[in-house]
Amino acid sequence: MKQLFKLLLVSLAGLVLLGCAHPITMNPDWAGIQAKNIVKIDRQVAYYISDANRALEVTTSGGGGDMVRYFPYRDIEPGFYKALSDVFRGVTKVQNPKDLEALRKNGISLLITPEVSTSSSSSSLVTWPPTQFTVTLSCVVTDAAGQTVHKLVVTGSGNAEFAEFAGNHSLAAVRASTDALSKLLKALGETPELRR
Amino acid sequence: MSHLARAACLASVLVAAVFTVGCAGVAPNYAPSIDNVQSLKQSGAQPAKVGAVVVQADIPGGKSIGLRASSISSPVGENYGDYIATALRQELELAKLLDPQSGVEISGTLLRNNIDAGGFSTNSGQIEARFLVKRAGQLRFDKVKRIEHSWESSFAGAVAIPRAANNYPVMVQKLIGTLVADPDFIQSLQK
Repeated sequence: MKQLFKLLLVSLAGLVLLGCAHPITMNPDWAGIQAKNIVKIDRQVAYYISDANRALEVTTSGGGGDMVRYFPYRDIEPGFYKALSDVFRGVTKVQNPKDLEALRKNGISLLITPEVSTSSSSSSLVTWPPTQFTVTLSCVVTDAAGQTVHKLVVTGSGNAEFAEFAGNHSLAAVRASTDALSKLLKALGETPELRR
Repeated sequence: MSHLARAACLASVLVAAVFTVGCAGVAPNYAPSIDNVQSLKQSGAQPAKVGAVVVQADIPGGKSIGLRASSISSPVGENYGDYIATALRQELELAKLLDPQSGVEISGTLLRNNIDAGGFSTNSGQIEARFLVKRAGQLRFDKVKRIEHSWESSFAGAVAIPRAANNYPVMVQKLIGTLVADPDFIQSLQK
């Protein structure tokens, strides 16, 4: 009987104390993605995110030896769409980036393909939410002929201390994605190659 | 206290810790559904404004949703009616159909807002809301929409609770999806 309890205790302690992967989100703060002093680019653009990327769940470091997991593409996509629609006249998503004929028929002059990479860490030994988070957005912009027009990389970072994230465990990730999208919006608006 | 009793006591504390992990937090920010946005863009709807989505008096989950021993409140406004109104504004904004000066107004009442987070293998949530569309004060649309959404859960509260909270924006996406897919709703936004 005693041995059974010991086993139970060890198992439960393992569940409580050891490497859980806690789900968080990177849904940005909408109010933080606003176009300021940007002259809109009079072009219809499309973007492509594969279904595999949308379903991709990644696991990175949290605090106290724990991990966090989230869906970077799925969570960043609406904010990415907003950033593009704040800079360009029209935005649409496409399922097949190789169908150049369909792009031309729909008046799409630029195709933007983002790649999202993230990292996280925590200075805490006892709490699991990340205190530092970074989001890097690398965008390849091609024209209607499939030729690369521009490559653009922005990195957003977010920090959150214990007092702040007690009510929102995703706070550092939210801040990082908001920062990255805000920088993307600015960078797109300031890239002359996209206006030609 | 015997070793056995101590062990049992410690085990129950650990079970409670695994299951509950209690604290109060906020739901994740809403993330608009691009499918909803594309549907709205292609619908021929005219720009509209979003009025209040009020919470029906005394419904549980109107201000705060219980998730085991935790709870989550809306990250915007006073309650989950404000969350849904904000979600509608964001979807219309992305579709370029949001106009605060429009004579067409979408409003609503939140009738049910619930997440069952107690399950070890699956959890689910339900939202029910009545939506109204008025054009120059005249009622053009009045329907109740409801959704049910379920997801994989876990015995461990540290996984089950955030996962339940993270599914709330998905529930709201589904709710707005049912609205956008209703031809009567789209017709009420057309001239």
